[in-house]
Amino acid sequence: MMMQIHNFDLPTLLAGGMLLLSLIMVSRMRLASLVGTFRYQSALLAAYALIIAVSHDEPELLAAALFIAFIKVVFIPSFLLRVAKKNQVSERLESYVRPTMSTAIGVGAILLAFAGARAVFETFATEASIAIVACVFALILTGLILLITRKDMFGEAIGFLVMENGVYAFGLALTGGMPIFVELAILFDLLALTVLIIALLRVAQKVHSSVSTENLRRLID
Amino acid sequence: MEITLLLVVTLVAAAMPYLSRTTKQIRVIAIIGSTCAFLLALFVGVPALFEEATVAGGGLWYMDALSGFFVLLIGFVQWTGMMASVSYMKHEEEEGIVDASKVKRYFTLFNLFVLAMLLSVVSNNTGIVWAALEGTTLVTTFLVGFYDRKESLEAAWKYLILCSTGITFGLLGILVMFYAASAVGADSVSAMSWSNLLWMGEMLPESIIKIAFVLILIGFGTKVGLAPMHAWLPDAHSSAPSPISGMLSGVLLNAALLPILRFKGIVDGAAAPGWSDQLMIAFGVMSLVVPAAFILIQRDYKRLLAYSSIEHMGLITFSSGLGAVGAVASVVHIAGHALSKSALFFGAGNILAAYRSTKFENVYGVVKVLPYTGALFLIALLGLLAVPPSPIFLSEYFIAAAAIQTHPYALAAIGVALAVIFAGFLMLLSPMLFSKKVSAQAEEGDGESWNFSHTGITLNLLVLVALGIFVWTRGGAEIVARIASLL
Repeated sequence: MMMQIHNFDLPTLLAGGMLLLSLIMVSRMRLASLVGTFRYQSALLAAYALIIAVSHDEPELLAAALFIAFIKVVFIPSFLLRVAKKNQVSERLESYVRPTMSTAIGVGAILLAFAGARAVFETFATEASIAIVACVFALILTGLILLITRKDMFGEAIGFLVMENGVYAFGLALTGGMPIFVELAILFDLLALTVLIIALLRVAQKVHSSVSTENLRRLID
Repeated sequence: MEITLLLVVTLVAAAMPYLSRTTKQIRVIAIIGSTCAFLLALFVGVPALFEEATVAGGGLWYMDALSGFFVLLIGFVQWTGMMASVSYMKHEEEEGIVDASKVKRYFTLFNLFVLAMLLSVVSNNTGIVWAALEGTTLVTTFLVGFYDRKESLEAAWKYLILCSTGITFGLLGILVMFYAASAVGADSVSAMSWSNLLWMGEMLPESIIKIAFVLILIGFGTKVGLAPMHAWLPDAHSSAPSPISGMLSGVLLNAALLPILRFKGIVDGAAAPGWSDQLMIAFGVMSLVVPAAFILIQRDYKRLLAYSSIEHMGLITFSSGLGAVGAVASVVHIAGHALSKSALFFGAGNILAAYRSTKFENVYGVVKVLPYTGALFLIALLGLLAVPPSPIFLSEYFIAAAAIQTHPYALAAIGVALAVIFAGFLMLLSPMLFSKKVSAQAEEGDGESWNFSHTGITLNLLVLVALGIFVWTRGGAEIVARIASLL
């Protein structure tokens, strides 16, 4: 098994780029900049799928890359921003921890992911480099951090979407893509999920005049 | 062919509300569609119980006795659930709680929910199983948030985010399993097919599929409501309209457990025997002990029933870690819990309609005010609490018999938890059912007349009792053993 740690080829750069962007996202407290950064990250994911499609010569994956580009880069971010603007959602997002703190937690998670990836890499004899496996693990973790630390519905939703990007990148790095009909079913779910999130955001804005999850704590026992 | 037809019928039924004019038409057509789906489910499910596993529909569907069993369960409970829905929605509409557009939305989502569940149990592709189960979350989120109340919004948001995040780990597990199967030479479609994975077990690399199984157990376990990933369940199940709560608790939780049980079979083929059993036992015990503490402090009968679902899923998970006898208990318990819990929720719908409250403090003397519902609720309750001839009596008896030698401490913990739950149920529900005092809210009504929902509940209970007797007969035991052999 080759340990390609210092390997700066294009896939590694893209995975690293996605990770860097989610680290930036962890500390972003403005709605537009959070959604915008998510858009760039999804673009890198689509590019990653494109590269795998070309290098593995899988035309099916090419279609998947196109769908990712359409759904995650164009549709979801624009839709979220439009709804926020239309319903006059506050630009300021809320978090349980300060941006410096959340960045520190993010860095900690990344170190953890790199340490863990080394152990997992022994089991997964994959052709992707250890750096990529570590990056996608870290991506999933930073998504989770975003999901946990934010206390508004937008932040939580974006956290979930980042995590989903991580899982998708994991699938690409490890297996070079699932059968196309499965990919489409999963993307369709994601699309429906976004519509649902937006529907609930609207209700929250109507009922509470805010998308803060602080208002969502009546059901306790 | 029949499977495809079943799915298409459900899909068409989902479209029908938007093609009908009056809400009466919607209800009539919904009953017809649901009855067709039930008959087709019999057509699909019954033969599958007796035949070898087959791949149908050009490789799309995988049918064995286990999927047949689940198709029958879903087919039946959606039928009685539709009966309960028809009278529930009729009442809500008369009271002015919902308008025609909501009635339309309800029946469309109901059928889409059934469709997604059926798809998740008959699909041959693990990725599609995942997508269908996530689909059930998406569809039912609309139903959990059906009433525009603050609590509904909170429950819907929690449900959507927690369940989706949880089940994403399940997808990660499926991807790892996919990778493991690809690594030993399966092509990309067959590396995701039950029909291949189930016999490939021994060939798969052990260390990788162990990781996959842990991810799958946590991921789908969130959807099953296993503690400690259960936080969303009581909120979601108590906020949805009651017939939907019944289907969520009764059948959806089981449908989410099915992939775990199937993957467990795959892992057992590769890993040392007993490895996955320990995980199942640990999660099972936790899911029994945690709700036991919460059941005692409930103030709301729908939440009480929801906590009890966590407990029963815990029992099923526990018994699936107990080998062959435990597998038989799991199968019987799945059916028993599905039938009795959905009956209880359908009954809870009638109680809510009469008392307009789900709080114990407002609900007294149900047996007096609602004689039919009260009696049926009581019978379903006794069934759920494992009074013979309920099948749950048999399954709990088998669980105890299987665990007493191998896992005495776990069994002791479960025994205590079950006793606490039993006491909690009696303590909370006896005043509600039998109190001589009658709530002011309900006194206005003049008696109760028999409606569709009572028919639905009665059918549930008839099948429950029949099943409880049938499993003791030779033919019944053989069928159960056939299904259990696939776990």
